Amino acid sequence: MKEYKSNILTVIWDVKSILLLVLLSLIDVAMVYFLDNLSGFPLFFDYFGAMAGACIGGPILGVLIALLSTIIRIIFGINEVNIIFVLEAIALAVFVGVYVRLGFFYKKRGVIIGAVLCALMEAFFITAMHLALYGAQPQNYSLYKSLFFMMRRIGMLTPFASLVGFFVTNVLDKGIILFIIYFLITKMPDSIAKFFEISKDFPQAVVVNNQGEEDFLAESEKLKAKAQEKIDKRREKEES
Amino acid sequence: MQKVTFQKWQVKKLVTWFVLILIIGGSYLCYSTWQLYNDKAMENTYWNNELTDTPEEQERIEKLSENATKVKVGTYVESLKEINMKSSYFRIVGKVWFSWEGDPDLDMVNNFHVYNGTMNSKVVEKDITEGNMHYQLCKIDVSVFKNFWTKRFPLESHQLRFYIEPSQVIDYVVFVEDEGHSTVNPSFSIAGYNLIRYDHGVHTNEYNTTYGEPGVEKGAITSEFLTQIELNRDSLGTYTKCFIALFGTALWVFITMFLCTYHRVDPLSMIPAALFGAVSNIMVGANLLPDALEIGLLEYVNVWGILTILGGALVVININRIRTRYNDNKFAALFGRIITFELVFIVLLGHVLMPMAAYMWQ
Repeated sequence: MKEYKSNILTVIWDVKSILLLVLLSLIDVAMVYFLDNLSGFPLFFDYFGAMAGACIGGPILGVLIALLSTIIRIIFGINEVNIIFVLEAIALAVFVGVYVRLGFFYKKRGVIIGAVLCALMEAFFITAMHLALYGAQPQNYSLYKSLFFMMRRIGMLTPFASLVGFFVTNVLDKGIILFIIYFLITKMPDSIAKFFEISKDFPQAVVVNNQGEEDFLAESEKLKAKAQEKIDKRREKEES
Repeated sequence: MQKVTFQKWQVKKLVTWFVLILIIGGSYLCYSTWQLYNDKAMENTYWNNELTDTPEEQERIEKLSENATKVKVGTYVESLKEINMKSSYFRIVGKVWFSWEGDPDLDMVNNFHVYNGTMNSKVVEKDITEGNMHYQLCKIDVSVFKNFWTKRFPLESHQLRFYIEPSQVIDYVVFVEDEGHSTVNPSFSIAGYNLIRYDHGVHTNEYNTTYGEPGVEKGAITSEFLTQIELNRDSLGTYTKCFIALFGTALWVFITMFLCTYHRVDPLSMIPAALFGAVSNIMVGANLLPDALEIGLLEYVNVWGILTILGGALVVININRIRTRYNDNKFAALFGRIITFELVFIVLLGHVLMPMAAYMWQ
């Protein structure tokens, strides 16, 4: 099954990755508690840590951060009913992790597209969860509330008004979070990147028209790598 | 910098199927959970509506019953013998008592009936007269007609009501609740349900016909004593019984998708067999319900199962197509992994959220 190996789920486990896991989980919990007390804040900003972990270490790390932060919140007295939202966090972490590993996250345009797809996925899942738990009660986020009532006024059915509200709010929310993560990782000081063994370069997706172009690209990469090897060897010789 | 190469058709296929499954599955989930939650929320409205008259109605009732004999009524619900959703009735055993002052000829125990009910037996246990005070107690076994709300079956709750109605109109007899004495047997139980609440109240009923009686201009108004109890499913037993075949079917579909993704096996012929699981499922549930039933949890979960099978079949077809048309096993495996994970996640989410929306959590 070697040909099927895509390395999407690969995680390198060591002390530093476990430290990162714990740190990002604590950041997640801290952000939720901080924002819960900030009335009038229009966005959700939850699972920042899980998304950052997924970007850095892949979907598995993101999922573990989501689970750990939920466990910490349970210990500190979260309403048990809200445990269901861990499924949302898992979906987010897996999506972001796979999206980054497939190479679509390396440009700002990719970040925007990722935010939109993420928001679409979030909107469906979170709307269904909210409807199952709380019915059509509009949630206490000002932007979501205004959109929800606007859609209801034009005659949209409640679940779809809720969906639109969550989608628009999530586009902003996830867009801001993903851009923050993008700039945090790309502009991170080298010392921190070295300490946590974080690569500041995201995988890059190259989209070609057909198999011929793909083969040409693969061949050029091979030749580039060979040429670079030769240049490095010559440099070493000259230095010695 | 690690480079990952995609062809345009690959990106298009991946994004299209990801978004399509999300939209179809997500929309269906949003709609079904909303419908189920709404039905659950209506139970509370329904519970309270029957207990109270509006202030205008109360004023009117007081005027009409100025000269009526005030009869204190109470009920004791002993047991629930049967709940029959298919035939739309429930059978309840309990005690009813009346006490009033004055009118020695009233004989309430032989001049009442249960609205929309069939008295199976009535035994007078006490008939006491002390001076001006009269007290009568009887034990009743009555079958009451009820249109069961089946939307959330098999995780539904039921509000069972019976109305004690006098043979006389409100001008002659008005009921008053015997406060603090009406109750339910503490050992009350019925298989498959828990008693979650009960209440009593006086209700006024106005008939919209005079039955063509000469000299009568308006329909009769009667004072009724309402007893209501609410039952809720006590476990997931019936739910599991109804859907176990479907869960097995879904699992089988996931296995076929796994086989297709990770091994070069075409499992498409196994999927129609899964449909039999879904069909047998539908038969189990359908036999338990009245013939005329609302579209609800039973249908939503069964349709969800059918969508799972269809989704799985389409994923398998797509993987096979990528292998045969493009000869690209690597992308076929990647596509299979991503879309299979998405489908499995959405299906599991649906199987968690739909019962969650339907069940009345205490």
